[in-house]
Amino acid sequence: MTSRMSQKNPFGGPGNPYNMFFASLAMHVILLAAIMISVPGSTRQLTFGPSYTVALVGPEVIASPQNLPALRDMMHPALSDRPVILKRDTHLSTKVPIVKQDDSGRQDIEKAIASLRQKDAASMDRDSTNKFPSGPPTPSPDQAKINDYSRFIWNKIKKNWVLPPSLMPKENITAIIEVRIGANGALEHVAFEKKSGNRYFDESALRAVTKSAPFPPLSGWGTGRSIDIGIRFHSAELR
Amino acid sequence: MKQSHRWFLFFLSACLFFCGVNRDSAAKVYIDIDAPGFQQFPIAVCDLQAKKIPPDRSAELPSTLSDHIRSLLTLTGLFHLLDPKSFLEGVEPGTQTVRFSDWTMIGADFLVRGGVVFGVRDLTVDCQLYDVSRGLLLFNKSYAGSPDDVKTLARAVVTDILLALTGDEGDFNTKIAFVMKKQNHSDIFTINYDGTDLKPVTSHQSIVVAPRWSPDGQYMAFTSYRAGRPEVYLYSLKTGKEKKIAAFKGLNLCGAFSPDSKKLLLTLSKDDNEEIYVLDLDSQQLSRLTHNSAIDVSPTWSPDGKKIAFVSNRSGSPQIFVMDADGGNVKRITFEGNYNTSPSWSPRGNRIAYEGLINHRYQIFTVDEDGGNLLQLTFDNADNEYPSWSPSGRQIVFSSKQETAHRISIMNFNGLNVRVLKESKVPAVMMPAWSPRLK
Repeated sequence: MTSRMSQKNPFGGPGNPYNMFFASLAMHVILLAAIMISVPGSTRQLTFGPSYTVALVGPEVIASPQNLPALRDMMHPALSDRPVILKRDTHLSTKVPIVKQDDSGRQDIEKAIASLRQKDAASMDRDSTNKFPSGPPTPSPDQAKINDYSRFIWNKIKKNWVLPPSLMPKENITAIIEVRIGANGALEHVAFEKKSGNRYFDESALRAVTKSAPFPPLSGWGTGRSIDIGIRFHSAELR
Repeated sequence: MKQSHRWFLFFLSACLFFCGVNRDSAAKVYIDIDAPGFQQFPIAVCDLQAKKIPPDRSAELPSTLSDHIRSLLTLTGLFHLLDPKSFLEGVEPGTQTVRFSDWTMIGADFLVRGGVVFGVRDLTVDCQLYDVSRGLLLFNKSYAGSPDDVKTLARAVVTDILLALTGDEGDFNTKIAFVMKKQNHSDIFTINYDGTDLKPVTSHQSIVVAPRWSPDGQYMAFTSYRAGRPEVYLYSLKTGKEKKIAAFKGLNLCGAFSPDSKKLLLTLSKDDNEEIYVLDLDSQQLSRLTHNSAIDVSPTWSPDGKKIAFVSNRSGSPQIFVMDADGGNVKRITFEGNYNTSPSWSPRGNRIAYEGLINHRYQIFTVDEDGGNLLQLTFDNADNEYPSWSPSGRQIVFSSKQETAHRISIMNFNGLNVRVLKESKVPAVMMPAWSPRLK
């Protein structure tokens, strides 16, 4: 009975134990590969590549990211703080009691806003076209650039994270948000890898991420297509 | 080559290929963020729009209502109001769409906008709250009210904003009771959380101190010297009637109500020295909780009713102690300074506020109920005393005395965002007590 079954082996051969072993090994490996392809590679446990952890808590990282050499080209002027400029524009229409002048002031503001929007759109176009080369992707990411990029992301998201301390629960909590940043810096994917259990904490973390987008383009380094980042928000310092 | 070997090589190549493809997006970086950049929500509040304003109504009414909403949001200490001059997007009557990017660009996290529709006698406010960074409408509600009482409408709007963003309705429908003292007389007054509607509660022509609200908002207890010595009275906020509930020989000092409003803590000296008792308000049954030759005063209940904090000099100087509600398991929780008194237990349960003498000044501190995490909240050159928590547990009211100036002030629970609620030289203002949420 056993010998008959061995002879029906699709890999041929008269039941050679080495063939059986290799066949079994190959099946297992291809199955694992198939699972990897069907599930997005952003989940930590299913990622084959290295998983980096960047601890950014020292005072040196609080320094402006513009000082980082690897980020100088990423820090495009269009990404600088806009409200200051806008506030300056809106001063034009104040303290003008005459209706006609009011209208002209209003038109000035509208024009200023329209031109600002155009500039914003143009700068985003420039970012996506000029900064990112259309050549083949870099085969392996440069660790230093990844660290600098992460530092910039950390700084930007931290600045945009708003949460009054009084909304904190008693215990320490952590939320992890996974993001995928495209080659042009766009936020391609954002989702919770782990929720903290506190709705208001989780929502504030999600707002910080979405408000921080778009990010600087990858500028030809990294994996070429996108970069996956896990952002862990901790409550410990808040309490 | 054998067929089996060809199969094997094929599978191996396939696996290596797929692994290589996936490797492109495999590298994952983890970033840790342990403190937010800001502790106040940036919010934009547009002026409410009105299509048609009746001739007998002020054209300023919609913007007045908007100003009240802004003021109340500021009072909470949770919001940073953005300057309307920075707004990119105007809001014309009937405009339905929101350009979220225009609001995120100026730094807003949230946007409040809406309109006012005037009826024959009343008006309706339609109000929307947006999460602009995520492009979400959080709520769209209508509020009907009197045009002559836009503050109530504004309170309703802001209460809903707080509920949506914090899960808590805040402290808007609350009052603060405090003592006004002029020469040898003092009486209790109440004032709204927003500083309006100052009203007297007592008129004893004597010394009245230590107001205490019942958690159900029905009663206020206090100590009065009307009979020549301190006795405890219970005042009905509903009927305005009061009755004497503790007039034993010696001192009768008012403590705090139990969380179910059925019991009242007292300090009595009827058995020689000052001890803490609990009085059942229905049965008038009195139970002694402390048995010590030292002075035990200023008792206050924990929000779950299981513990009581009080002041005792049993260790040589006035310090804060915590005991079980039946008087057992007494533990000292303050060890810094030689004079710590006036404990007040946070409604959130984990912190106790008190005043302590440091550098010849009284300052407000908070500490965990087990004595850990001591935090000094006030540092100015004044005597800051009598802390009392707001119902949300996010704010603390206290009295402050600097030279001849007396103030009732409110601060966030972490000591930030101090604002003066009531300021006076004569009469002096002191001993504030925050009410529960009132209907």
